[in-house]
Amino acid sequence: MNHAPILPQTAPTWRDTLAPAAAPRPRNRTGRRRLVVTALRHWVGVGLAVACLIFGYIAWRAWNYNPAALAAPAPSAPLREIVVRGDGALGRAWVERTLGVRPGVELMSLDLEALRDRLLQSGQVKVAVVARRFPDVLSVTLEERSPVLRVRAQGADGVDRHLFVARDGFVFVGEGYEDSLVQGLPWLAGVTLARDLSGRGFALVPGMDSVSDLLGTVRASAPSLAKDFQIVSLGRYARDGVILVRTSEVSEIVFGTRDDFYRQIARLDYILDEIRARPAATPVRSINLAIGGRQVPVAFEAPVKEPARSGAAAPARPARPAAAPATAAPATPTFFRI
Amino acid sequence: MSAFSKSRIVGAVEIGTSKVTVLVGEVAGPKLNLIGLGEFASRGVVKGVVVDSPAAGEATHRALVAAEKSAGVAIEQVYLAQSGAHIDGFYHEATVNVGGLEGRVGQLDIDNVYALAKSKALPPGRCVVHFLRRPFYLDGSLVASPEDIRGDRLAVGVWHVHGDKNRITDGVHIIRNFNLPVTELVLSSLAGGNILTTPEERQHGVLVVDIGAGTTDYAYYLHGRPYVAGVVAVGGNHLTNDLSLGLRITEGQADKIKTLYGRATVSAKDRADAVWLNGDMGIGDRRFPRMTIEQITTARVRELLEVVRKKLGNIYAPGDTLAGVVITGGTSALPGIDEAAARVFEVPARIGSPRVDVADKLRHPAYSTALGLLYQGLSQQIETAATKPVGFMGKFRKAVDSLARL
Repeated sequence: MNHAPILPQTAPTWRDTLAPAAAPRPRNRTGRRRLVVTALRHWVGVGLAVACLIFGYIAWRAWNYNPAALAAPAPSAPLREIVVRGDGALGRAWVERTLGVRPGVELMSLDLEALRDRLLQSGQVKVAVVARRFPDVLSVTLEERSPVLRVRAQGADGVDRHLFVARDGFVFVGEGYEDSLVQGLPWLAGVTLARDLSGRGFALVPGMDSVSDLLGTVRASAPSLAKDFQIVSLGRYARDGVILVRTSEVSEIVFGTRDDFYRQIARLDYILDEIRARPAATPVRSINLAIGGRQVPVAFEAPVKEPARSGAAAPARPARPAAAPATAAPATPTFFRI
Repeated sequence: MSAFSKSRIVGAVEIGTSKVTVLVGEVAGPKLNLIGLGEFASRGVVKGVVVDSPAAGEATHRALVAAEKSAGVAIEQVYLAQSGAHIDGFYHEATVNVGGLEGRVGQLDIDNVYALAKSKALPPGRCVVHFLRRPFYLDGSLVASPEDIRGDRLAVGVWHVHGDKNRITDGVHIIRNFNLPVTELVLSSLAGGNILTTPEERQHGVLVVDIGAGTTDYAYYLHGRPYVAGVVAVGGNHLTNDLSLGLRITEGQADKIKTLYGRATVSAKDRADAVWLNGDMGIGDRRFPRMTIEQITTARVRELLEVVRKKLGNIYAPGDTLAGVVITGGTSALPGIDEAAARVFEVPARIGSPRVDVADKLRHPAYSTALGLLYQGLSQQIETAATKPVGFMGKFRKAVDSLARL
């Protein structure tokens, strides 16, 4: 029989003095943070292990009792409905017409990329998301371009038609807009529409973001003025940085793009009110709001009468009333001090 | 390194009186890589002993975080340097009659005599940090390995390095509170000795003296093994204190004077050769003779080295210390300290420099303990891995590694 040798007891070492089971008790933030991170890692590891076990069990069960379910494809059925969500004028009918997809087509047979391209070809659609919603629904989400101005031009087919210009300068054939909306849009002038590289559309119109800001500001702050905007010209936009607007009352209002539109519109509103308040209103030829400063040059159609002095309730008055004779030349502006 | 070779991240921590140093190393297969360094000014440590655990813990943890950040990995285990005035040692020898077949020494005889040598009772409240085994003697003759050699009496001596239980556990708890295990405690001088001396030097006899800020650790190697190791509670701070008292200046000013003008041997010949305290000629700026400064620091360094020699006792003999004295630690930067050591120990002395290829910054004597500790830890890890039985996964890894090498 083999006996293990009995050796003498050695002196206690530092390991014998430590309680191995004692949990660490950090007394500063650094130690506590490390302890928490370690504990989290531990429990995340345990959680993952448990999740793997559960998944393994489910897979094992499926393999043993219903192996066909593992290889089965996702359920698919014939298309029942096209669900359209959008932020503009295009509706479900337009989408169905454009896509050319009829209910009853196998959902999985649809080429979503091709369908998306068809939607984007219209130009009115800025972003299109086409997705399958199993088992039998095709979901289409559209983000449309909003028309800012309208223009009349020949399309790729040589036919004259109404086109719309969006904020990003994109020219497109609008569809589904109400007449009141279309009639309320000013015309674009002063630019030549150039064909894009493909030859099917037009190149982007520069300066439309400024026009959009101007129209947005005027609609928000002075809706009555906005209704009166007839033509917006970008003829001097590239050279002088100004936008010209024609209204029923004024032949040419010059807006500067470097100045705040809100201030310019407030001044315009004030000046028009002043002019309307005169006993004999004279047609206004131009109001130049782009100059800035406290004086706004206003040119009247000839002949004009001397502008009436405004009272205390109407502070705007001509800067040099004596210098504006009753038969002034049409080109000589009257300065309104704001 | 293949994808299946697992690397281990080892940290070497030295909680010193002036600063906490943490080095991070990686064991990747047979290679040792030094990958991170963290330092932080020490707090709550006096003469190598933790006197304010929260402050010392905070400083150590910050150094650990800095080291982990520098390495980019988390430390898995720690080798902790041990020092302090509480460390002491004694020698105990044991002898057994050889009981093996035909009078040959068996493993049981070796285990028995070694266990007997380690069985000396300690004073209350003490625990052993290291058992430093000396060579075996068989019938009075030194043998490197007595196994299977014929003889009657087998003897071995063990130097017990022991310390105060509470002081030792204080240091260990600081590391454990950072949620890290302490794999090994290593006396600072032994850690430094590992990296500063070669096996040949240890065979021929070499003394390693690590002069830190609060303590001086020493280890004396003979016949290739550490014979004696201990700690003296005097360090570089005492030089500062002496200068502060002798020149009647603040400790901060004294530390600056020590660093700039202190020497371990007097070199100034002229008392008129003086240095300025601040050098800005402003209010409070004073001149001190360079000779006075050198005399103060020289006296204290000489006294310190003499205390070490006295603690070594009869075991130290200049004739047996053929490889001389190796000085290390932060205070070894004092000019002329090797000369002073050579005079006290009567053997050639030199400033220690690591015998491994490391960055220039880490070649400074102040890092030798941490560096030695790290290399000891990493070497132990490699040895452990080499002797570990290879399981199924181990065989699988080896097979994949060999395939990857094709």
